[in-house]
Amino acid sequence: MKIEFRLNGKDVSCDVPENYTLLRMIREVFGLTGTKKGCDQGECGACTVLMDKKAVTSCTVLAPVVNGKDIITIEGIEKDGKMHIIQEKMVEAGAVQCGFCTPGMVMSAYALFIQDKHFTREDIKKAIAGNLCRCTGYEFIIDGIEKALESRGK
Amino acid sequence: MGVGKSVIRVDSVEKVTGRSKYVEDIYMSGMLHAYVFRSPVSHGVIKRLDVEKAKECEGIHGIFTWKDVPGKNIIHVIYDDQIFLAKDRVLYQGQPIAVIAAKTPEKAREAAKLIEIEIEKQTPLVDFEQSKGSDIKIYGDDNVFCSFKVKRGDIKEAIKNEDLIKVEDTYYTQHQEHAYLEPQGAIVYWENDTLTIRGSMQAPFYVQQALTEVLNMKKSRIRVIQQTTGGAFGGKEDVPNIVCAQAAICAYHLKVPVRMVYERDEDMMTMSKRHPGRTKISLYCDKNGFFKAIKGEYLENAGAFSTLTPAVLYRGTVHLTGPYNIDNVDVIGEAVATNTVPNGAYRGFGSPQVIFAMESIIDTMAKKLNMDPVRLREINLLKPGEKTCTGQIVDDSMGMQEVFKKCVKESDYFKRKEEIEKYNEENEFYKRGLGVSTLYYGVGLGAAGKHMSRCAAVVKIDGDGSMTVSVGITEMGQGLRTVAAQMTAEAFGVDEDLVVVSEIDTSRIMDTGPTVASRGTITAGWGIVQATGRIKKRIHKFLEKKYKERFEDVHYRDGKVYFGKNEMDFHELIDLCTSEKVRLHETALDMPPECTFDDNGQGEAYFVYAWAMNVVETKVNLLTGEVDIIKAHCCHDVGKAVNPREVKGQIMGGSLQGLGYGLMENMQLSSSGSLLTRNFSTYTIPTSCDYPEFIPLIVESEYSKGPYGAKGFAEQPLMGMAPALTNSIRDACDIHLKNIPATPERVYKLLMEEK
Repeated sequence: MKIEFRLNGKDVSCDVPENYTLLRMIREVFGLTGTKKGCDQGECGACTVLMDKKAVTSCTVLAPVVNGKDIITIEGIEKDGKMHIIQEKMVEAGAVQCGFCTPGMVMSAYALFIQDKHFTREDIKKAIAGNLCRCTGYEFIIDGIEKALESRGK
Repeated sequence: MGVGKSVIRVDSVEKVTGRSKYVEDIYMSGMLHAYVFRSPVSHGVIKRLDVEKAKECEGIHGIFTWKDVPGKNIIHVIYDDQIFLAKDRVLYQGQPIAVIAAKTPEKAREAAKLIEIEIEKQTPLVDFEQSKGSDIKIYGDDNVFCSFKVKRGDIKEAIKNEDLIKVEDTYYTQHQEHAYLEPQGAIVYWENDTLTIRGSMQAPFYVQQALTEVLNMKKSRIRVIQQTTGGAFGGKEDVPNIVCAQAAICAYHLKVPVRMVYERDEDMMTMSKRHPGRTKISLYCDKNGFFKAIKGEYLENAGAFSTLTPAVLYRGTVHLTGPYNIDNVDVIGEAVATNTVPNGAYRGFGSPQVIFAMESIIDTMAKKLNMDPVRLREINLLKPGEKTCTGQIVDDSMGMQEVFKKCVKESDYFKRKEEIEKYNEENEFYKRGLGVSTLYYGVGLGAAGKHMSRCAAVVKIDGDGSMTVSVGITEMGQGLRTVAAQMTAEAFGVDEDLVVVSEIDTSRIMDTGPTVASRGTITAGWGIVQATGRIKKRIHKFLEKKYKERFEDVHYRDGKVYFGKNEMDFHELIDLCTSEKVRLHETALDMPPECTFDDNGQGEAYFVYAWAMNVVETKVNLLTGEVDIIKAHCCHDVGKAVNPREVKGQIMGGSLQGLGYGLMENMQLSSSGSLLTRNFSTYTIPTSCDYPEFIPLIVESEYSKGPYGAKGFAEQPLMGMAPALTNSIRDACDIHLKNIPATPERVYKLLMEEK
């Protein structure tokens, strides 16, 4: 079926089988492979993207649902070839090991970042509770996200 | 810049932006997808297998069975018992029978349903305690894959002393799933008449060897390149031999690129796990608490094939008695077969099972002696110059005492113990507790793996002063590429930015064994030190010739080079060397110190040891059996922390895997051997809401033979967390967990029994 939506700030359209997930569509139709498939069951969070400003696991969203929506992926948060501050702070904090959970983790953090609110460390923990990481023990990830959120001055 | 600094990881920008290419991110034109048809039963005889109808399906390019294997139908690991594609019998549910190559993964799955198979079911052997000598034969005459012993002193004589105090118990540990976030995968294609494999793996040389045998091809025609790997933890040591062989047999026959990426449920169901174990220990000490003798029996459930079990069992057997000075030792380790998924390498490699038992029984002894568990450990811990259970003197890089002192001090153990006692008096339904564990870890492959123990590096400096380094060690998230860049940069006193650590490629570098056993830093480091050292020597000679004078030393610092009274920019020097044709390219090959292990389990079991202590605080809800982990002090002697921040990352990440093992990770099998927990909703691992306040502590007792004093330790953080956790639960509410994980059901049941 034909669907139209916004992808990383641009209007796009494509013909896609109805049973495709958003994950499969962005990876295979649009070639954006930064979003990872860790379980395809909505449990690990590696495929997290933003849909209408909310973090969703793209493996549990069917492509037709995306019609008319605004989707942001990991490829859509860098500006002029410069990393988003969440990415900068995560790199500095040592939040990256194997890197497979990282793009999803960044997107969950980004969903907080764009809200006009203050978030505590506990809020951050809850916000990424659906993003599994097996390498880091989470502490450095949360450090990085916290620093990035602080930079907003809220 | 250089060794000892927390420099930014060289791979982190690529990863945080999503630009790193993992196997599933590679698309090639004409690429097919492979999918495996597997045994639906745990034990049976294949009576008929017909793939012809399935082959007719649209989109199917080929289906391959044992008949299509050009070489040996065996996946080589240590023994040759692991069948590649089942021919006449199946020994576990999920055992591979055929590989389907199709245009899409969906078409492959549809075709799999049309494969006709008749299997005569046989009774499966699932309970590993019943395996040895069972009528159900899986391996050899008695189902025993291997055994090891460690005998020291005279145990019979020692325990005749009736004044000794004895405690004994039996402990059980469960399967543990690696849960690397990136599932297993490989892509195989032909290039330059060479079968090229790009895969998620720890040990490209294993894959090359295995494929040589399966495909009956020369090694030089099989080129294995490690693709960016999304976590491994042992789960990608030998298992990629299987995954790559599955994709490779399709590409071999069809001559087109074939990609194979496991779905999560398939991965969890069929890939290796930590061996479940049973450990019986009898510990004897005198009235002052000094350990005098120990008897241990360790039984491992290996699953249907031996894979890495002999090596896993070796480490478990040698690590059972812990970092304590005990003169009389009698330990036996044995591994047996069952009709369950083959178990293999997992961070700690056979040791977390026995450490759980040993560290638990020490607390039983402490209770019996009415001593604090920390004091009891303190008087028994090895000191420099004393001997391990294999009779090995530990004096180089022996940081146990310093680790102990630092951990007790930083955790404020004794003061907190008092505070907790007060808390527990005041609270009826919540009880808090402190638990500890002390442990050691033999770095590297040890005597059991010494035939694979080599280190190599290729260092090349280009005319502009930038460098490329190749090592035989893989990056799987642990930070190896960063550490290798730091060590190379250190040698020339330059910034890491000048160094590129290339991907590992079997066509470019010598076989240096697998990236396992916490040997990455030391193995890559030895190669780098040797290769850079030779280049520096050559430059030294060149400068002496050029300047016609002797220089005591050529010193590299902050991008400058100093010799005699001369000073030069590093870039200038390299430019000069290049123009005068000094060879700035070097290949190093070195052997680590020798390890030995005799028939009685005595010898230099490992060339050096890492040391650790953990203090864990928990809070137990007496009404529900739920346990909250509050705080964990994890102190590790790492030799030299090449990158302290990354060391802390290893400590916290590994410790959380250990806490998961102790608290919640609960793999379930049915009575017929079917693995029931096949996804992250049934096999739960710690989330950001489960981890405690971590206080990672680093001790650096430098290893005299190690590169820049480094040794290796990355498995150790996992190994002692389960007993520190259960000991803290015991401290809180006086229940003795002899099984893990400490699920609320299990804790609650013990609390009820206690009443």
